[in-house]
Amino acid sequence: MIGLGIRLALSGGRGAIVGLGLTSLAVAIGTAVLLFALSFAPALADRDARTAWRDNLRPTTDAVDATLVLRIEDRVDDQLLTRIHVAPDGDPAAAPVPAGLPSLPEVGEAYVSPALARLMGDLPSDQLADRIGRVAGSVPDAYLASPDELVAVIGTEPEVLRAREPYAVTAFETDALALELPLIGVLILALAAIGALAPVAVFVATATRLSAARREMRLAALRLVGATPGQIARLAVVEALVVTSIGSLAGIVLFLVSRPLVARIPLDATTWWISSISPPMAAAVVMLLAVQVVGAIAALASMRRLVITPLGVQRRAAPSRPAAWRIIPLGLSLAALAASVALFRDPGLSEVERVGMIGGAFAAVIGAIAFAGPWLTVVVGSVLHRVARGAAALLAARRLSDEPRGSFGAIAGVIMAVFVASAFFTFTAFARLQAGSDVDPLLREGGIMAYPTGGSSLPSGIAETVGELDGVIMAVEVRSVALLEDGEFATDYGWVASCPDLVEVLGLVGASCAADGVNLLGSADLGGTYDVIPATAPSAGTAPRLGVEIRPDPSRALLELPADTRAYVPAFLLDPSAFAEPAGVERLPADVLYVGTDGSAAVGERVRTAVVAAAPDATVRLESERVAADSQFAEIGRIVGLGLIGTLTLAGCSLAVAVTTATLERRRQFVLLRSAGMAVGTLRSMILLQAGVPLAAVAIASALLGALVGSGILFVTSGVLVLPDATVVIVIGLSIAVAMAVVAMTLPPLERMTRPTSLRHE
Amino acid sequence: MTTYLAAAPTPVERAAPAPILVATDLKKRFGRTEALRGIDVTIGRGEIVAVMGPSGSGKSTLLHCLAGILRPDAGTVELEGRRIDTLGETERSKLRRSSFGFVFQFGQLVPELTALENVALPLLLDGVSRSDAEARAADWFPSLGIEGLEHRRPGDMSGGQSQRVAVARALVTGPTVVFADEPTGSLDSLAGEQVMELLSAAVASSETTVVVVTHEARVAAYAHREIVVRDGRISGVVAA
Amino acid sequence: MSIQHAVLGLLQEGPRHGYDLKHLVDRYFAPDRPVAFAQIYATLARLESRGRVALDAVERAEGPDRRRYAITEDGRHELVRWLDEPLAPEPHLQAALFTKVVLAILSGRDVTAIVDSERHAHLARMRELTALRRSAPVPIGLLADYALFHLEADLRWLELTAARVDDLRTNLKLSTEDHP
Repeated sequence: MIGLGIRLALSGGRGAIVGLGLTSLAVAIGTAVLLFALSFAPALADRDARTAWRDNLRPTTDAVDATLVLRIEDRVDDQLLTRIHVAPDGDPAAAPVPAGLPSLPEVGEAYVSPALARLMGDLPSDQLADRIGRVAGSVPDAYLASPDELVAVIGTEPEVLRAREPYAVTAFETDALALELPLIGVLILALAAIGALAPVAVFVATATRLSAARREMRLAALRLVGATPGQIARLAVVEALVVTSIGSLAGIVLFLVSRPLVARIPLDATTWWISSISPPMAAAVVMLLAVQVVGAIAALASMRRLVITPLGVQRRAAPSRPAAWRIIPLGLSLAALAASVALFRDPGLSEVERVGMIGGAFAAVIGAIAFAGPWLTVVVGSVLHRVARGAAALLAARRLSDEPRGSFGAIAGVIMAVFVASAFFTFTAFARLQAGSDVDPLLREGGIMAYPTGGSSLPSGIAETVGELDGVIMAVEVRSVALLEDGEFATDYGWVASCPDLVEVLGLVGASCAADGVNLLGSADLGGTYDVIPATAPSAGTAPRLGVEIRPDPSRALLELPADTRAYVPAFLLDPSAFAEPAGVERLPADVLYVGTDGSAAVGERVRTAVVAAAPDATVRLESERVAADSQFAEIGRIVGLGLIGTLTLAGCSLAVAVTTATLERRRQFVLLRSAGMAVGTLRSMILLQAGVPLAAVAIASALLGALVGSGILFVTSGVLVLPDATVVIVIGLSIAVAMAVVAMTLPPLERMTRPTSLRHE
Repeated sequence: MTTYLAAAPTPVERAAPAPILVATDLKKRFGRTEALRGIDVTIGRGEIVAVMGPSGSGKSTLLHCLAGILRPDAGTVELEGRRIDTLGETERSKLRRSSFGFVFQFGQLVPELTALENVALPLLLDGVSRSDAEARAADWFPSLGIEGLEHRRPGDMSGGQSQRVAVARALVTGPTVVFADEPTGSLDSLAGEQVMELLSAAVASSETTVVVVTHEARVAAYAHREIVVRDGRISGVVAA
Repeated sequence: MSIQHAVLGLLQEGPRHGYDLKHLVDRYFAPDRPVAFAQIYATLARLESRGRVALDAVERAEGPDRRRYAITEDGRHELVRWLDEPLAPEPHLQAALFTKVVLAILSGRDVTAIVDSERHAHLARMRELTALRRSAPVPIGLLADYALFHLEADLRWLELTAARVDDLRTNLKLSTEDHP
């Protein structure tokens, strides 16, 4: 029996082979997607375990013989550079050493990752190497998040670190910290996985249908000679298992082959170790078995009607027409989605529960779209029937009304992809909104700002050092200050900086500095005698203070700033000339450095290197990063985008397969129509109409729904009302166009296939 | 001409054979169509019976009911005294492959299997090992004039060859009754006659009963007697 | 064609003159080959001599005497016997079969019964021929085939006629009415 089933599955004409191949391919793609999905969490865990030694820093309170650690996220060459400054605290011999390193690096020495070593060789030392120091060895792969990661463990003076709030560590952890992705990111990824799997399922279903008519005939013939329903079921299961096992094996191969490519997709600005993308063995085995079981169940389900009678398709009862109640689950699932979104902020629920709830509801919406689809197709068909003029439109309309399930099945993949796409383009619009928002909008082109990460200040004289670098036009130190009036805080914080220099470096066109050095940027109302103290001072008592007398002047004009920057600037700007003793300003610590440059990449790295050499904890942001900034959302958006391309490709494949299948099934009818004098052109436009009209109608509906769902989820989870931008329109237009092109691709063979002579050998 | 033909031998008068397949008051409807409106049929062992009647008269439905493919809405079907209309689907399937054989107009061979495998199929379904089943199947090929076609696929054979393979398949289990529905419907006269000739010769020795639905008198002439179905009823029962 | 039975059948509806009978026979049974008056009168004479028809009345008008005949009880029996008994199935039965069907309709009988009994008779003969062909040398077998095909053709024509009997009935009734 099993042998017979295998023979039935594997033997057969070219059509059967194509069917077998496509179905296996579909299963293979599905299997590979599932394997990647299963590998996601382990890959993240592996990454976290590899970086635990520097990410999971546990400060100790009674620090004896500890190691001081300061971790700085720097950038070079548009990539993340993680600098880990270390220094022994106490006995250098007893200080714990990060895993994988022979010892703590000496001051001025560093252990670097291989990628960083390469980059240091490529860039002039004043752009990178001077930040790192002399290379003493390398950080082993096992302690790097990815092969491309730029990491340096830099030996630093303990005093330098102590001034910058380091961690004092007595042991370097090997246990990973909890997943650091923001909840919304996890949610988007979860939804993307669901969204990607739906078209895979559709593709599997469509590919199965390719050989369905033939198989039904064959199994009916078997029933006739006395195969029991049980035997038929076993045969169908064996056939399905042949396909799914071939597909699963191919899927494993596909997974292994595409793993190096997938490893190049960064998450958190980091690519992956190929070896870390591997699913847990037990889960993979269970999943592979589940694929077989699902395949078998699907085969049994498709056999259901045939088991009734050996007369096979001849006496098959016409399936009932889909009724309007098919729209109900869609309403219910949308309500469920709304409810789960509303509950998203409920603190009584765990993260898993919340993500699971939204994910489940989202999956339900996709399922409900598939369920409502046939009814929508009937509606579209009857509308088309009413407006139809020619024979092609009439035939297409009738076919839509009479075979809504098949007709919708063909386009279901594209419809789901469009729904998922429009939901996620809403997310990526949100991501773009988030991206770049942490770069100071005051920076103009080529601008750079530097600020200390810990509560410390920039070293004095930094402006001169930076100002002398090649390509730097001007560097201006800014001191954030607060005003005390009779020992009480008087107003919001403000800046002390050279007003003309700042106006120039920030490119505040048209702004003019006040003659007395007191410039108002916000609504502060200044007048009287004040003590100026650093805004970052922990308390007013210990901070250096500087007296200033400001003459009240109600007519004082505001320094004009571009409208979109006003939220980022302080209330006032005091030029040193406002103080009785301008040079005394130096006693206040500088905490921001604005640099104007010629905008080249090299000058950016030079400024960084110079600043970091002077202050290891300083963060340097380039204006150009505003565009290039790799926020997690942009990355997630990119992953989703890649997923969507795959999804749409799959959906296109399903569509092509489905249209071809439908044409093959109706070949006799088409031949007869042509024999009766119908032009091939009419047949072609009929097929185009039949796929195109419901595709356009349902795709637009589903896009609107997707955008609505996406906006809804975002509004509740992040409180921002984001409407999808024009990309949605482009994506949907493109999807429909590509889908129609796919349908059109199946048309050229139509002429040959439906030649009236072609039935002779049937 | 008549002089030559006048010498025609009168077919041997058959003693009334023992009834093997008895149907009483069969009724079957499909939706609004009443296909069978109360049919009584008795078919004897070793008889070849032709079922005739206009299109849509219900003759195929009668055959399907007698063969246990369809379940009648009312009435009984007995095979050798045993009710078969009340059997479950699995039981009827087993009955079909052990006691019945089938030859239909077309589309009955499994396109993926070779001629030999198609003939062996009922045996395989019955649990016979593949080598035994194919050996037994191969025995039928010479007597049906299809030697050498064992390893052809149905698509590579002519209609007449396919039908002879179907006859071999119908006979391979040594069935009690062979049901044939328009077995020559898609063949020309010569091929059709060959199929009927082979079928009637093959069953003659083994006392196999044949029920053949046909609208062709020449095919019906191979039968011992005919049953005419009209509007779901037996018409023109003429005392033999 | 059996003129005897045709005449008997036409007289079944009521007594008729020889002249009328000729025209009705021509009209229903032999539209392409009219029968001679002499043949009608000879037939009537033979039927009268066997007691199947009887002289009903003699009308004297201009020209020759017009003798009107009526069917007798014997004649009716003969007609029914003939209708019930299938013809010996041989090829080219068209004329006789056609006469039978028309008469069956004219006498209001069930045509399917005639078709069934004809089919039965035909198939019996075809069975003989099939058996003959199996045992006979090829030339005889080919002749048997010829006979089989013709018998089959007759049967098929008969079945078609049976299927269209309602049309035929309407048509015949119309023509008898407009020709009293």
